[in-house]
Amino acid sequence: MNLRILISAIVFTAAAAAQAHDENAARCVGLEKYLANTPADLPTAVLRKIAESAAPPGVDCTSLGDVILKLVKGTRVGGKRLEEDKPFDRGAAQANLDQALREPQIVDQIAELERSVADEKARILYEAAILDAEGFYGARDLRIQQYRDRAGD
Amino acid sequence: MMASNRLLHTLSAVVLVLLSAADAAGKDKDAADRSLVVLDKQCKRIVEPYTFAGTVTTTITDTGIALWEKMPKLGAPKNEKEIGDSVRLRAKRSNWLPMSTEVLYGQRAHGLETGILGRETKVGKKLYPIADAMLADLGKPVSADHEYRFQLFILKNAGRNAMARPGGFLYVDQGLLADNKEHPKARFALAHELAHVLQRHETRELQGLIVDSYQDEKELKQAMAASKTDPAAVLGNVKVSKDTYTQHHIDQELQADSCAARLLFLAYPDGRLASDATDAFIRDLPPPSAGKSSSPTRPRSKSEKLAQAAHDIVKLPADRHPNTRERTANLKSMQGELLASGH
Repeated sequence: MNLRILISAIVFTAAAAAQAHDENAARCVGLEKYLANTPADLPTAVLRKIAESAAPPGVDCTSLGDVILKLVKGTRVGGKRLEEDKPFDRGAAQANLDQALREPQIVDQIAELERSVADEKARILYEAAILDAEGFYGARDLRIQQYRDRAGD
Repeated sequence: MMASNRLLHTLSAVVLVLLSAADAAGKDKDAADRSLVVLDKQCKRIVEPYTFAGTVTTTITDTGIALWEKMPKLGAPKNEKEIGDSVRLRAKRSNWLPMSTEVLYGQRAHGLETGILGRETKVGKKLYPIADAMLADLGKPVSADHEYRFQLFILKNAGRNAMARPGGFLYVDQGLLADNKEHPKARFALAHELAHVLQRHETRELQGLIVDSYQDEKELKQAMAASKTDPAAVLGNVKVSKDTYTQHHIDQELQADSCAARLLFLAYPDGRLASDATDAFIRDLPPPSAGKSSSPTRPRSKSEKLAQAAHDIVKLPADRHPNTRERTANLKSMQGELLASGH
């Protein structure tokens, strides 16, 4: 009987702590405004959910915002460029991802995401934000491309 | 925005009125040539000075603009017929847009830029010192010749591109800085972008658009009426105008390449780093076969040519880069000349 009470108390405390974490976790302010110009062919349900939810632990809001902008924004405004932008190089991006996944800190953060974020599409974008914050932009773009590939599913 | 548009219109009106006066005085009786040209393709002069038709440089100042704006009914000329082609051409070739307007124009576009790496981020703290040092090296030889305050930003892109905006805003992809092997190309990229600003390339394009915004209404009506019976003539006119801008853009890019080579040889007098930078850029250009005409077949008949012209006007970008062959030939020639002359 005492053991049952103890287990119940532990479960209750853990649930309360998890709820408190959700309530205290920071929501990234201002992400909604990035969705105003989302291309018509890009479903917005996941993006809206991300914009309205607290960011998972370890996900940087600036990077998350930049990932969303990268996904939705159109053409550049003005500017003289050195050369035409080259097409997306999936091989180079994969190599960049492989390099990122050799960093223990990144591996830990992604593992944490797998535990805390159930929605696979949202997880891809959160992963992209983690890669962005660490400067692995090729890997980030690969994740964004993967999100685009699956967005309509 | 409306205020700045009005300012630009007023300013261009002032310029056109002054140029018209100069024209009327018989200073330029040459036949009109509407084409925009880059005259100094070998970039003998890295910094393009602020001039106004060579004779009235000091007439247009920021104070002058404010005074002109207060004058009534000078917003736009009433009789555009008085703007001759030679006046139009000189207004395009002169460097009359004030620095403050240029900076405002660049600032506005910069405000819309996304994906800028913060200087205080973990990655920023590592990469900005590298980029800043390159810019300091390249800017040193011309630092006394201009008033720009360059602002350098790293873009969170894995690519190897770079960009400049009027007023001195420079951008370089993280992909050029994160890997030491890319640093020679990064030097070339920064030198090329510095050159765009110092030559006021985009500012000149803006001036051209402002000048062209003054159209003769009667001519336009005639063209529209003629399009019913002779569409080719109307399309031809538009095509010539668009091709002019495209060629001008290509020439500006080649000029910026030339300036970049010259700047690099000034910044690194032993020649080795300068040559490495130029060679790295050339190596990273797309294969020469890429960028050929996308047109599957050459148009033969009149109707095919008409269709092709319409397609090119609408679909092909005016803002185009030179192809690999053109860039390589130009840079090899510049390198040869700089090495032979001891820079």
